[in-house]
Amino acid sequence: MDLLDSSVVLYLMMGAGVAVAVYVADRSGSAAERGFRVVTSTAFWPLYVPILFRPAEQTLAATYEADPRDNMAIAIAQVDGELQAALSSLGGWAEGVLTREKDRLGELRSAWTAQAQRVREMDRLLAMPENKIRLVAEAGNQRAAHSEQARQRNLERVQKLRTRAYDDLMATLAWVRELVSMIHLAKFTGAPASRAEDLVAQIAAAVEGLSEVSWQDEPVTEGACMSLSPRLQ
Amino acid sequence: MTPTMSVLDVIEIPEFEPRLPVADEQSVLGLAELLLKERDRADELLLDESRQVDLIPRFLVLSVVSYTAYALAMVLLLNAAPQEATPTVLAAGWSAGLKPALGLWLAYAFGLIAAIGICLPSFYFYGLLAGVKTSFLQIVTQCLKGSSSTAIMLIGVLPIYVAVALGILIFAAPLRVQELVLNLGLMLPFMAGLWGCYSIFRGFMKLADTLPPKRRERREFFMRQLTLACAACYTAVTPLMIYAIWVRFTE
Repeated sequence: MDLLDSSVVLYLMMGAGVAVAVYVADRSGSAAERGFRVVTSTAFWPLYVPILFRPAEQTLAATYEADPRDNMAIAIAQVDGELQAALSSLGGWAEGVLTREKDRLGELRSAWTAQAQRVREMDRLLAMPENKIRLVAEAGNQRAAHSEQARQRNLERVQKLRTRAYDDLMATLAWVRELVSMIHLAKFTGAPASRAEDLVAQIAAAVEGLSEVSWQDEPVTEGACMSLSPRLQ
Repeated sequence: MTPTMSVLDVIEIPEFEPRLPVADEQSVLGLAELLLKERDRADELLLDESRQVDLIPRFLVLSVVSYTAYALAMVLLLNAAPQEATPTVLAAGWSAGLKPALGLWLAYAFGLIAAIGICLPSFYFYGLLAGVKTSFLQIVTQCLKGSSSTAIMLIGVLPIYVAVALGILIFAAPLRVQELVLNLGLMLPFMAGLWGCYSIFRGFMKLADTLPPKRRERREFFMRQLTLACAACYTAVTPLMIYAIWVRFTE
Protein backbone atom coordinates (compact mmCIF):
# COMPACT_ATOMS: atom_id res chain seq x y z
CA MET A 1 0.00 0.00 0.00
CA ASP A 2 1.65 3.26 -1.12
CA LEU A 3 1.25 6.75 0.29
CA LEU A 4 -1.71 7.63 -1.95
CA ASP A 5 -3.62 4.48 -1.02
CA SER A 6 -3.12 5.03 2.70
CA SER A 7 -4.15 8.69 2.27
CA VAL A 8 -7.35 7.59 0.56
CA VAL A 9 -8.11 5.11 3.34
CA LEU A 10 -7.46 7.77 5.97
CA TYR A 11 -9.60 10.26 4.06
CA LEU A 12 -12.51 7.83 3.84
CA MET A 13 -12.20 6.88 7.50
CA MET A 14 -12.46 10.50 8.48
CA GLY A 15 -15.32 10.85 6.03
CA ALA A 16 -17.17 7.99 7.70
CA GLY A 17 -16.72 9.66 11.09
CA VAL A 18 -17.99 12.99 9.81
CA ALA A 19 -20.93 11.25 8.09
CA VAL A 20 -22.02 9.67 11.37
CA ALA A 21 -21.68 13.03 13.14
CA VAL A 22 -23.68 14.77 10.40
CA TYR A 23 -26.39 12.13 10.63
CA VAL A 24 -26.63 12.44 14.40
CA ALA A 25 -26.45 16.24 14.43
CA ASP A 26 -29.07 16.92 11.79
CA ARG A 27 -32.02 14.60 11.27
CA SER A 28 -34.19 17.16 9.53
CA GLY A 29 -35.52 16.67 6.01
CA SER A 30 -36.71 13.62 4.11
CA ALA A 31 -34.91 10.26 4.04
CA ALA A 32 -33.47 11.13 0.62
CA GLU A 33 -32.09 14.42 1.92
CA ARG A 34 -30.55 12.74 4.94
CA GLY A 35 -29.10 10.03 2.70
CA PHE A 36 -27.60 12.62 0.38
CA ARG A 37 -26.06 14.48 3.31
CA VAL A 38 -24.52 11.28 4.70
CA VAL A 39 -23.10 10.16 1.33
CA THR A 40 -21.71 13.57 0.40
CA SER A 41 -20.31 14.12 3.87
CA THR A 42 -18.29 10.91 3.48
CA ALA A 43 -16.86 12.05 0.15
CA PHE A 44 -16.62 15.79 0.85
CA TRP A 45 -16.18 15.81 4.60
CA PRO A 46 -13.97 18.94 4.72
CA LEU A 47 -17.01 20.90 3.56
CA TYR A 48 -19.18 19.51 6.36
CA VAL A 49 -16.76 19.89 9.25
CA PRO A 50 -17.47 23.65 9.66
CA ILE A 51 -21.18 22.79 10.05
CA LEU A 52 -20.39 20.46 12.93
CA PHE A 53 -18.09 22.97 14.59
CA ARG A 54 -20.27 26.04 14.24
CA PRO A 55 -20.91 27.89 17.51
CA ALA A 56 -23.64 26.46 19.73
CA GLU A 57 -25.76 29.64 19.73
CA GLN A 58 -25.80 29.49 15.93
CA THR A 59 -27.18 25.95 16.16
CA LEU A 60 -29.79 27.13 18.63
CA ALA A 61 -30.71 30.01 16.37
CA ALA A 62 -31.03 27.65 13.43
CA THR A 63 -33.34 25.45 15.47
CA TYR A 64 -35.54 28.37 16.33
CA GLU A 65 -35.49 29.58 12.75
CA ALA A 66 -36.27 26.25 11.14
CA ASP A 67 -39.13 28.03 9.45
CA PRO A 68 -37.85 31.42 8.41
CA ARG A 69 -40.95 31.98 6.28
CA ASP A 70 -42.85 33.80 8.99
CA ASN A 71 -45.08 36.73 8.14
CA MET A 72 -42.18 39.19 8.36
CA ALA A 73 -40.01 37.17 5.96
CA ILE A 74 -42.91 36.80 3.55
CA ALA A 75 -43.69 40.52 3.70
CA ILE A 76 -40.02 41.43 3.15
CA ALA A 77 -39.76 39.08 0.15
CA GLN A 78 -42.99 40.48 -1.28
CA VAL A 79 -42.02 44.14 -0.92
CA ASP A 80 -38.48 43.50 -2.12
CA GLY A 81 -39.83 41.75 -5.21
CA GLU A 82 -42.14 44.66 -5.96
CA LEU A 83 -39.35 47.14 -5.37
CA GLN A 84 -36.94 45.32 -7.68
CA ALA A 85 -39.60 45.16 -10.38
CA ALA A 86 -40.27 48.89 -10.03
CA LEU A 87 -36.57 49.78 -10.05
CA SER A 88 -35.91 47.65 -13.12
CA SER A 89 -38.72 49.51 -14.88
CA LEU A 90 -36.78 52.76 -14.40
CA GLY A 91 -34.20 51.74 -17.02
CA GLY A 92 -33.81 54.45 -19.64
CA TRP A 93 -35.87 56.92 -17.63
CA ALA A 94 -34.16 57.64 -14.34
CA GLU A 95 -30.99 55.56 -14.36
CA GLY A 96 -28.90 58.27 -12.73
CA VAL A 97 -30.61 57.94 -9.39
CA LEU A 98 -30.27 54.15 -9.49
CA THR A 99 -26.52 54.49 -9.87
CA ARG A 100 -26.33 57.07 -7.10
CA GLU A 101 -28.52 55.18 -4.65
CA LYS A 102 -27.30 51.69 -5.56
CA ASP A 103 -25.54 51.15 -2.24
CA ARG A 104 -28.37 52.42 -0.04
CA LEU A 105 -30.96 50.44 -1.98
CA GLY A 106 -28.79 47.37 -1.59
CA GLU A 107 -28.72 47.91 2.17
CA LEU A 108 -32.49 48.17 2.37
CA ARG A 109 -33.24 44.47 2.31
CA SER A 110 -30.40 43.75 4.73
CA ALA A 111 -31.83 46.35 7.12
CA TRP A 112 -35.30 44.82 6.93
CA THR A 113 -33.92 41.33 7.48
CA ALA A 114 -31.88 42.56 10.43
CA GLN A 115 -34.93 44.24 11.94
CA ALA A 116 -37.01 41.07 11.49
CA GLN A 117 -34.23 39.09 13.10
CA ARG A 118 -34.22 41.51 16.04
CA VAL A 119 -37.96 41.02 16.49
CA ARG A 120 -37.55 37.24 16.38
CA GLU A 121 -34.79 37.39 18.98
CA MET A 122 -36.99 39.43 21.29
CA ASP A 123 -39.86 36.98 20.72
CA ARG A 124 -37.52 34.14 21.60
CA LEU A 125 -36.41 35.89 24.77
CA LEU A 126 -39.96 36.65 25.85
CA ALA A 127 -41.06 33.09 25.13
CA MET A 128 -38.39 31.56 27.38
CA PRO A 129 -40.09 29.65 30.21
CA GLU A 130 -37.83 31.17 32.87
CA ASN A 131 -39.08 34.63 31.95
CA LYS A 132 -42.63 33.60 32.75
CA ILE A 133 -41.85 32.45 36.25
CA ARG A 134 -42.41 35.01 38.98
CA LEU A 135 -40.36 34.51 42.12
CA VAL A 136 -42.40 34.93 45.26
CA ALA A 137 -40.32 36.76 47.81
CA GLU A 138 -40.50 35.76 51.46
CA ALA A 139 -42.48 38.11 53.64
CA GLY A 140 -40.30 41.01 54.70
CA ASN A 141 -37.69 40.54 51.99
CA GLN A 142 -38.25 43.92 50.39
CA ARG A 143 -35.12 43.84 48.26
CA ALA A 144 -36.09 40.57 46.55
CA ALA A 145 -39.62 41.81 45.94
CA HIS A 146 -38.29 45.07 44.54
CA SER A 147 -35.89 43.25 42.18
CA GLU A 148 -38.66 40.99 40.95
CA GLN A 149 -40.86 43.99 40.22
CA ALA A 150 -38.02 45.70 38.37
CA ARG A 151 -37.42 42.51 36.40
CA GLN A 152 -41.05 42.36 35.36
CA ARG A 153 -40.95 46.02 34.33
CA ASN A 154 -37.84 45.36 32.21
CA LEU A 155 -39.53 42.44 30.49
CA GLU A 156 -42.56 44.61 29.80
CA ARG A 157 -40.20 47.17 28.31
CA VAL A 158 -38.69 44.49 26.05
CA GLN A 159 -42.22 43.61 24.99
CA LYS A 160 -42.89 47.25 24.11
CA LEU A 161 -39.62 47.46 22.20
CA ARG A 162 -40.59 44.35 20.28
CA THR A 163 -43.97 45.82 19.38
CA ARG A 164 -42.34 49.06 18.32
CA ALA A 165 -39.70 47.31 16.19
CA TYR A 166 -42.35 45.14 14.53
CA ASP A 167 -44.65 48.10 13.87
CA ASP A 168 -41.76 50.13 12.46
CA LEU A 169 -40.78 47.30 10.13
CA MET A 170 -44.32 46.81 8.88
CA ALA A 171 -44.86 50.56 8.50
CA THR A 172 -41.63 50.92 6.53
CA LEU A 173 -42.59 48.02 4.27
CA ALA A 174 -46.03 49.54 3.68
CA TRP A 175 -44.47 52.92 2.98
CA VAL A 176 -42.04 51.44 0.45
CA ARG A 177 -44.98 49.68 -1.25
CA GLU A 178 -46.75 53.01 -1.42
CA LEU A 179 -43.69 54.66 -2.96
CA VAL A 180 -43.33 51.77 -5.41
CA SER A 181 -46.90 52.31 -6.58
CA MET A 182 -46.08 56.01 -6.97
CA ILE A 183 -43.12 55.14 -9.19
CA HIS A 184 -45.42 53.16 -11.47
CA LEU A 185 -47.94 55.96 -11.45
CA ALA A 186 -45.34 58.62 -12.17
CA LYS A 187 -43.91 56.59 -15.01
CA PHE A 188 -47.21 56.03 -16.74
CA THR A 189 -48.39 59.60 -16.31
CA GLY A 190 -45.25 60.86 -18.01
CA ALA A 191 -43.88 62.63 -14.93
CA PRO A 192 -40.37 64.08 -15.24
CA ALA A 193 -37.40 61.90 -14.30
CA SER A 194 -36.79 64.16 -11.31
CA ARG A 195 -40.02 62.84 -9.76
CA ALA A 196 -38.74 59.28 -9.99
CA GLU A 197 -35.42 60.39 -8.56
CA ASP A 198 -37.23 61.94 -5.63
CA LEU A 199 -39.21 58.76 -5.00
CA VAL A 200 -36.20 56.46 -5.27
CA ALA A 201 -34.27 58.70 -2.91
CA GLN A 202 -37.15 58.42 -0.41
CA ILE A 203 -37.14 54.63 -0.75
CA ALA A 204 -33.39 54.57 -0.16
CA ALA A 205 -33.92 56.75 2.90
CA ALA A 206 -36.52 54.31 4.25
CA VAL A 207 -33.69 52.35 5.82
CA GLU A 208 -33.34 55.21 8.28
CA GLY A 209 -37.00 54.82 9.29
CA LEU A 210 -36.27 51.63 11.15
CA SER A 211 -35.93 52.26 14.85
CA GLU A 212 -32.63 51.77 16.56
CA VAL A 213 -33.17 51.87 20.28
CA SER A 214 -29.89 52.04 22.10
CA TRP A 215 -29.33 51.55 25.80
CA GLN A 216 -29.01 55.31 26.25
CA ASP A 217 -32.65 55.68 25.22
CA GLU A 218 -33.78 53.60 28.15
CA PRO A 219 -33.81 55.31 31.53
CA VAL A 220 -31.99 53.45 34.26
CA THR A 221 -34.58 52.36 36.76
CA GLU A 222 -34.28 52.15 40.47
CA GLY A 223 -34.61 48.41 40.21
CA ALA A 224 -31.78 48.23 37.75
CA CYS A 225 -29.54 50.14 40.16
CA MET A 226 -30.42 47.74 42.90
CA SER A 227 -29.74 44.67 40.88
CA LEU A 228 -26.43 46.04 39.65
CA SER A 229 -25.12 47.04 43.04
CA PRO A 230 -27.15 45.58 45.85
CA ARG A 231 -24.41 46.21 48.41
CA LEU A 232 -24.75 49.93 47.93
CA GLN A 233 -28.28 49.90 49.28
CA MET B 1 -44.88 57.37 12.38
CA THR B 2 -43.83 57.06 8.76
CA PRO B 3 -45.12 59.93 6.65
CA THR B 4 -47.25 59.36 3.56
CA MET B 5 -47.46 61.67 0.61
CA SER B 6 -49.17 62.03 -2.71
CA VAL B 7 -47.27 62.96 -5.83
CA LEU B 8 -49.70 63.19 -8.67
CA ASP B 9 -53.37 63.44 -9.31
CA VAL B 10 -55.01 60.08 -9.73
CA ILE B 11 -55.52 59.13 -13.36
CA GLU B 12 -56.83 56.04 -15.07
CA ILE B 13 -54.94 52.97 -13.96
CA PRO B 14 -52.58 51.61 -16.60
CA GLU B 15 -52.25 47.89 -17.13
CA PHE B 16 -49.11 46.53 -15.54
CA GLU B 17 -47.11 43.67 -16.88
CA PRO B 18 -47.37 40.67 -14.55
CA ARG B 19 -44.35 40.29 -12.30
CA LEU B 20 -42.08 37.33 -12.75
CA PRO B 21 -42.56 34.82 -9.94
CA VAL B 22 -39.99 35.07 -7.16
CA ALA B 23 -37.60 32.11 -7.04
CA ASP B 24 -38.29 29.59 -4.28
CA GLU B 25 -35.22 29.92 -2.11
CA GLN B 26 -36.00 26.70 -0.26
CA SER B 27 -35.58 24.39 -3.25
CA VAL B 28 -32.53 23.35 -5.26
CA LEU B 29 -34.02 24.54 -8.54
CA GLY B 30 -35.04 27.82 -6.92
CA LEU B 31 -31.46 28.26 -5.79
CA ALA B 32 -30.23 27.66 -9.34
CA GLU B 33 -32.74 30.24 -10.51
CA LEU B 34 -31.44 32.72 -7.96
CA LEU B 35 -27.85 32.17 -9.08
CA LEU B 36 -28.88 32.89 -12.63
CA LYS B 37 -31.40 35.67 -12.28
CA GLU B 38 -31.05 37.31 -8.88
CA ARG B 39 -27.41 37.13 -7.99
CA ASP B 40 -27.68 40.00 -5.50
CA ARG B 41 -30.34 38.10 -3.60
CA ALA B 42 -28.20 34.95 -3.67
CA ASP B 43 -25.30 36.92 -2.19
CA GLU B 44 -27.57 38.29 0.53
CA LEU B 45 -28.82 34.81 1.28
CA LEU B 46 -25.29 33.71 2.00
CA LEU B 47 -24.87 36.46 4.57
CA ASP B 48 -27.73 34.99 6.59
CA GLU B 49 -25.94 32.65 9.01
CA SER B 50 -29.06 30.65 9.77
CA ARG B 51 -29.38 29.63 6.11
CA GLN B 52 -25.80 28.53 5.50
CA VAL B 53 -26.18 25.02 6.92
CA ASP B 54 -29.19 24.48 4.73
CA LEU B 55 -27.51 25.87 1.63
CA ILE B 56 -24.41 23.65 1.63
CA PRO B 57 -26.17 20.37 0.66
CA ARG B 58 -28.25 22.22 -1.93
CA PHE B 59 -25.19 23.72 -3.57
CA LEU B 60 -23.63 20.26 -3.50
CA VAL B 61 -26.65 18.76 -5.28
CA LEU B 62 -26.33 21.35 -8.04
CA SER B 63 -22.61 20.71 -8.45
CA VAL B 64 -22.74 16.89 -8.34
CA VAL B 65 -25.68 16.63 -10.75
CA SER B 66 -24.17 19.04 -13.22
CA TYR B 67 -20.69 17.50 -13.17
CA THR B 68 -22.25 14.06 -13.54
CA ALA B 69 -24.18 15.19 -16.61
CA TYR B 70 -20.98 16.67 -18.01
CA ALA B 71 -18.99 13.47 -17.35
CA LEU B 72 -21.71 11.40 -19.01
CA ALA B 73 -21.64 13.61 -22.10
CA MET B 74 -17.85 13.39 -22.28
CA VAL B 75 -17.91 9.60 -21.92
CA LEU B 76 -20.39 9.34 -24.80
CA LEU B 77 -18.30 11.63 -27.00
CA LEU B 78 -15.04 9.85 -26.18
CA ASN B 79 -16.65 6.51 -26.97
CA ALA B 80 -18.01 7.85 -30.24
CA ALA B 81 -14.63 9.26 -31.29
CA PRO B 82 -12.02 7.11 -33.01
CA GLN B 83 -9.26 5.76 -30.73
CA GLU B 84 -6.64 7.94 -32.49
CA ALA B 85 -8.56 11.11 -31.60
CA THR B 86 -8.57 10.40 -27.85
CA PRO B 87 -6.81 13.27 -26.06
CA THR B 88 -3.21 12.46 -25.10
CA VAL B 89 -3.90 12.94 -21.42
CA LEU B 90 -6.50 10.15 -21.47
CA ALA B 91 -5.10 7.96 -24.26
CA ALA B 92 -3.19 5.55 -22.02
CA GLY B 93 -6.18 4.62 -19.88
CA TRP B 94 -9.16 5.11 -22.18
CA SER B 95 -11.23 2.24 -23.56
CA ALA B 96 -14.92 1.61 -24.15
CA GLY B 97 -15.33 -0.19 -20.79
CA LEU B 98 -17.07 0.82 -17.60
CA LYS B 99 -13.92 1.45 -15.57
CA PRO B 100 -12.58 4.40 -17.60
CA ALA B 101 -16.09 5.90 -17.73
CA LEU B 102 -16.39 5.64 -13.94
CA GLY B 103 -12.87 7.02 -13.60
CA LEU B 104 -13.71 10.07 -15.69
CA TRP B 105 -16.92 10.69 -13.74
CA LEU B 106 -15.14 10.30 -10.41
CA ALA B 107 -12.26 12.52 -11.52
CA TYR B 108 -14.55 15.39 -12.48
CA ALA B 109 -17.51 15.04 -10.11
CA PHE B 110 -15.33 14.32 -7.10
CA GLY B 111 -12.17 16.21 -8.08
CA LEU B 112 -13.79 19.54 -8.86
CA ILE B 113 -15.61 19.64 -5.53
CA ALA B 114 -13.00 17.99 -3.34
CA ALA B 115 -10.41 20.51 -4.53
CA ILE B 116 -12.45 23.16 -2.70
CA GLY B 117 -11.82 21.27 0.53
CA ILE B 118 -8.08 21.44 -0.06
CA CYS B 119 -8.19 25.17 -0.80
CA LEU B 120 -10.53 26.09 2.06
CA PRO B 121 -7.87 26.93 4.67
CA SER B 122 -6.16 29.23 2.15
CA PHE B 123 -9.47 30.94 1.32
CA TYR B 124 -10.21 31.45 5.00
CA PHE B 125 -6.74 32.81 5.58
CA TYR B 126 -7.12 35.22 2.63
CA GLY B 127 -10.42 36.44 4.06
CA LEU B 128 -8.82 37.11 7.43
CA LEU B 129 -5.92 38.88 5.74
CA ALA B 130 -8.39 41.18 4.02
CA GLY B 131 -9.85 42.00 7.42
CA VAL B 132 -13.30 40.68 6.53
CA LYS B 133 -15.58 39.58 9.36
CA THR B 134 -16.31 36.05 8.24
CA SER B 135 -16.55 32.51 9.52
CA PHE B 136 -15.17 29.26 8.13
CA LEU B 137 -18.73 28.17 7.41
CA GLN B 138 -19.33 31.32 5.39
CA ILE B 139 -16.20 30.67 3.34
CA VAL B 140 -17.41 27.12 2.62
CA THR B 141 -20.78 28.47 1.48
CA GLN B 142 -19.17 31.12 -0.72
CA CYS B 143 -16.90 28.55 -2.37
CA LEU B 144 -19.77 26.13 -2.94
CA LYS B 145 -21.80 28.95 -4.44
CA GLY B 146 -18.88 29.48 -6.84
CA SER B 147 -18.86 25.77 -7.63
CA SER B 148 -22.62 25.77 -8.23
CA SER B 149 -22.32 28.81 -10.51
CA THR B 150 -19.65 26.94 -12.46
CA ALA B 151 -21.90 23.90 -12.62
CA ILE B 152 -24.85 25.91 -13.91
CA MET B 153 -22.72 27.61 -16.54
CA LEU B 154 -21.34 24.21 -17.53
CA ILE B 155 -24.82 22.82 -18.01
CA GLY B 156 -25.64 25.88 -20.11
CA VAL B 157 -22.60 25.49 -22.35
CA LEU B 158 -22.70 21.69 -22.56
CA PRO B 159 -25.50 21.30 -25.16
CA ILE B 160 -23.73 23.71 -27.51
CA TYR B 161 -20.44 21.91 -27.06
CA VAL B 162 -22.02 18.46 -27.55
CA ALA B 163 -23.76 19.64 -30.71
CA VAL B 164 -20.52 20.98 -32.15
CA ALA B 165 -18.48 17.92 -31.10
CA LEU B 166 -21.07 15.50 -32.48
CA GLY B 167 -21.09 17.40 -35.76
CA ILE B 168 -17.34 17.12 -36.00
CA LEU B 169 -17.41 13.40 -35.19
CA ILE B 170 -20.30 12.58 -37.54
CA PHE B 171 -18.81 14.48 -40.47
CA ALA B 172 -15.44 12.85 -39.78
CA ALA B 173 -13.36 15.97 -39.45
CA PRO B 174 -9.57 15.46 -39.48
CA LEU B 175 -8.31 13.53 -36.44
CA ARG B 176 -6.32 16.53 -35.28
CA VAL B 177 -9.50 18.65 -35.16
CA GLN B 178 -11.41 15.91 -33.35
CA GLU B 179 -8.67 15.63 -30.75
CA LEU B 180 -8.63 19.39 -30.35
CA VAL B 181 -12.40 19.48 -29.79
CA LEU B 182 -12.24 16.65 -27.25
CA ASN B 183 -9.39 18.43 -25.46
CA LEU B 184 -11.54 21.51 -25.40
CA GLY B 185 -14.29 19.42 -23.83
CA LEU B 186 -11.97 18.31 -21.05
CA MET B 187 -11.21 21.95 -20.34
CA LEU B 188 -14.85 23.03 -20.40
CA PRO B 189 -15.30 23.00 -16.59
CA PHE B 190 -12.33 25.32 -16.27
CA MET B 191 -13.77 27.75 -18.77
CA ALA B 192 -17.13 27.64 -17.00
CA GLY B 193 -15.10 28.05 -13.81
CA LEU B 194 -14.42 31.66 -14.75
CA TRP B 195 -18.07 32.32 -13.99
CA GLY B 196 -17.66 30.56 -10.67
CA CYS B 197 -14.63 32.74 -9.88
CA TYR B 198 -16.68 35.82 -10.65
CA SER B 199 -19.42 34.53 -8.36
CA ILE B 200 -16.91 34.03 -5.53
CA PHE B 201 -15.51 37.49 -6.23
CA ARG B 202 -18.99 39.01 -5.89
CA GLY B 203 -19.55 37.11 -2.65
CA PHE B 204 -16.25 38.30 -1.18
CA MET B 205 -16.97 41.88 -2.21
CA LYS B 206 -20.32 41.62 -0.47
CA LEU B 207 -18.45 40.56 2.65
CA ALA B 208 -16.58 43.85 2.40
CA ASP B 209 -19.80 45.44 3.68
CA THR B 210 -18.77 44.14 7.10
CA LEU B 211 -15.79 46.50 7.05
CA PRO B 212 -15.95 50.00 8.51
CA PRO B 213 -16.77 52.49 5.70
CA LYS B 214 -13.44 54.30 6.04
CA ARG B 215 -11.45 51.14 5.48
CA ARG B 216 -13.75 49.59 2.90
CA GLU B 217 -12.38 51.30 -0.19
CA ARG B 218 -8.77 50.49 0.64
CA ARG B 219 -9.63 46.89 1.55
CA GLU B 220 -11.72 46.30 -1.55
CA PHE B 221 -8.63 46.68 -3.71
CA PHE B 222 -6.82 44.20 -1.51
CA MET B 223 -9.77 41.82 -1.70
CA ARG B 224 -9.74 41.89 -5.48
CA GLN B 225 -6.16 40.68 -5.38
CA LEU B 226 -7.01 38.04 -2.80
CA THR B 227 -9.88 36.74 -4.93
CA LEU B 228 -7.42 36.42 -7.79
CA ALA B 229 -5.13 34.47 -5.46
CA CYS B 230 -8.06 32.22 -4.51
CA ALA B 231 -8.83 31.58 -8.17
CA ALA B 232 -5.17 30.84 -8.92
CA CYS B 233 -4.95 28.45 -5.98
CA TYR B 234 -8.08 26.56 -7.05
CA THR B 235 -7.00 26.50 -10.71
CA ALA B 236 -3.65 25.01 -9.74
CA VAL B 237 -5.05 22.35 -7.42
CA THR B 238 -8.05 21.15 -9.43
CA PRO B 239 -6.36 19.80 -12.59
CA LEU B 240 -3.85 17.97 -10.41
CA MET B 241 -6.65 16.46 -8.40
CA ILE B 242 -8.58 15.38 -11.49
CA TYR B 243 -5.51 13.90 -13.12
CA ALA B 244 -4.43 12.06 -9.97
CA ILE B 245 -7.87 10.48 -9.55
CA TRP B 246 -8.07 9.53 -13.22
CA VAL B 247 -4.62 7.91 -13.26
CA ARG B 248 -5.25 6.11 -9.98
CA PHE B 249 -8.58 4.76 -11.10
CA THR B 250 -7.53 3.57 -14.55
CA GLU B 251 -4.06 2.21 -13.94
